[in-house]
Amino acid sequence: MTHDPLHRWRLAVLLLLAAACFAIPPGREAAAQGQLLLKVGSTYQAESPWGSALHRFAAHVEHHSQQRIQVRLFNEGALGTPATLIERVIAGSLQAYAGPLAPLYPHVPALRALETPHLFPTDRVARARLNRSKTAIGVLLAATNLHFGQWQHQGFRSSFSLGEDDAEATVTEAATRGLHQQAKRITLSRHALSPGILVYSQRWFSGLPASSQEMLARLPAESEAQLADDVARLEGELLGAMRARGIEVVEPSSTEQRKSSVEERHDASAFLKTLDEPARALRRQLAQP
Amino acid sequence: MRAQFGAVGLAFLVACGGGAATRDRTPRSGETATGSTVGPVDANATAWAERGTPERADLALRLRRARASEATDDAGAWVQVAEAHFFIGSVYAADGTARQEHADLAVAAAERAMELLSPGILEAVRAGHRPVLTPELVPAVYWRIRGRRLGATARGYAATLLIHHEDVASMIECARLIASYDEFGAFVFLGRALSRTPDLTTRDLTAAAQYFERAIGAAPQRVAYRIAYAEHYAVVAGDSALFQRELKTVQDAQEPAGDQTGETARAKARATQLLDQLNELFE
Repeated sequence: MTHDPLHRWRLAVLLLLAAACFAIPPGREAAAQGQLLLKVGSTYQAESPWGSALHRFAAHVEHHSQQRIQVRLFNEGALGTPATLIERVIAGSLQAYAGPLAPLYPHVPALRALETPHLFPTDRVARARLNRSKTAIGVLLAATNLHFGQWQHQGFRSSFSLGEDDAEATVTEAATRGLHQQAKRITLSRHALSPGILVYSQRWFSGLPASSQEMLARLPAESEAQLADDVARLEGELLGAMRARGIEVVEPSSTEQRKSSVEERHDASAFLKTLDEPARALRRQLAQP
Repeated sequence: MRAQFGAVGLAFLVACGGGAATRDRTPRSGETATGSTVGPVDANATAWAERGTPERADLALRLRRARASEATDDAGAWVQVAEAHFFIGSVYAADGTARQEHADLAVAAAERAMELLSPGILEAVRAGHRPVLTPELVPAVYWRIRGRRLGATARGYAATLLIHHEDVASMIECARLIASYDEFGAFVFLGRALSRTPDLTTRDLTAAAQYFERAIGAAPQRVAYRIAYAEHYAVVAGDSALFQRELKTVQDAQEPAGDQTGETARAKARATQLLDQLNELFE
């Protein structure tokens, strides 16, 4: 029997290794066998708030999957137009899409309900209700071989007066389309949400180990909140620059908003007529306080 | 599971036999140059031709500034100052703040040249009017746009969005008037701008490719154009063959004898860097 301290240390390490060998969870064991590729086709620019949010998403997923899931971001439509990206995700040849929700409408028409005018009084309420409705929206997406991932907050649409014409856009959309070069006035009506989304291919998602599915289903809420803050900051910068260019920026007061409520109800009811029954059901759910 | 027992066995061997070796083991740890050369061989021109190091580029800038200060009504001298600030800002700036400073100084010098050539033009531009360009105005307008873009990139996404459409429209006008300015840099700017538009609906990959092809066809010796074609067009268009072909051409390019601008060396380094990312970009 030796009393060499080094010998005891070796023995302890050996025992620890042996214990670790039997304690490796199934996910880690699978990780040793191979990595999973998560290619995300996005329409966002890499340096935009959405590009940054996707970068954070990639870092989170890789870290929390112990590098088992390797995320590759293809921003700026590098893998195709939004319509092509969505078709590829539905078919399973691309793992995920991140971008505006509108290109999904031909496949999941009910999602148009999210753009009902005056559905959400504030940004915070919108985010709370969207999160509350994730399950219902997930069911609609699953019917088209898609799996809900995360909201990509893009802001609300407002009215841009372009002289004789008017246009509706979020502040960021207006700048990307160059509307700020012609706009005379902006009425920050913020009347309709302009949603963005991250969706996975259902085929890819259902082939993941349970631990990875759970991790992807529990993406941190702070990430969505941070994106919303970044978008608000970007809108503030853009509005400041637009004001400096002499564009009149009108923020309707509560009285003005009440005055126009009849007109707004008319807008909303005209929009509702264009929705099918599943969309109306979703709208009713989203409208509940 | 067999591999795990193997690992335990290896740990056992290390712990038993390789202890001394383990204890004794020392841990191991694991641009866009543009710019035309000026004609007469003087100190200014020589320094500019030798801008391949930060020190020489800084000297060239100081000489250009000195010349512009002496001839305050010489628009061409201020255009050269703008070009030098843009070059240092895009190639040698240590950080975003330095890049932004050089970009702002490039814009200020270009605007001074514009005002000398067409008094009142800046007031009109700032009021949102698009001025009627003349060939004489092109160099100043060109460097103003390049400087604005460089500064906006350093300032952030909002700044980039706000100038994009206006600058693309002005650069199209520049390219129409004097295609050869800065050896077809206007075409490269447009190729890049139309490949990577903030709004995908305004992207025009066909026009972007045409602009790049025209620039490369007209100045095949400017390897930096091929880098821009590969990095900004081929990646977005998903054209791996074009990406590899252009970058390999850059890697194989001979450095022009006596060239001290450093452009070819920088382009070759960038080509290698981009080719290393081939699988990631076109997976």
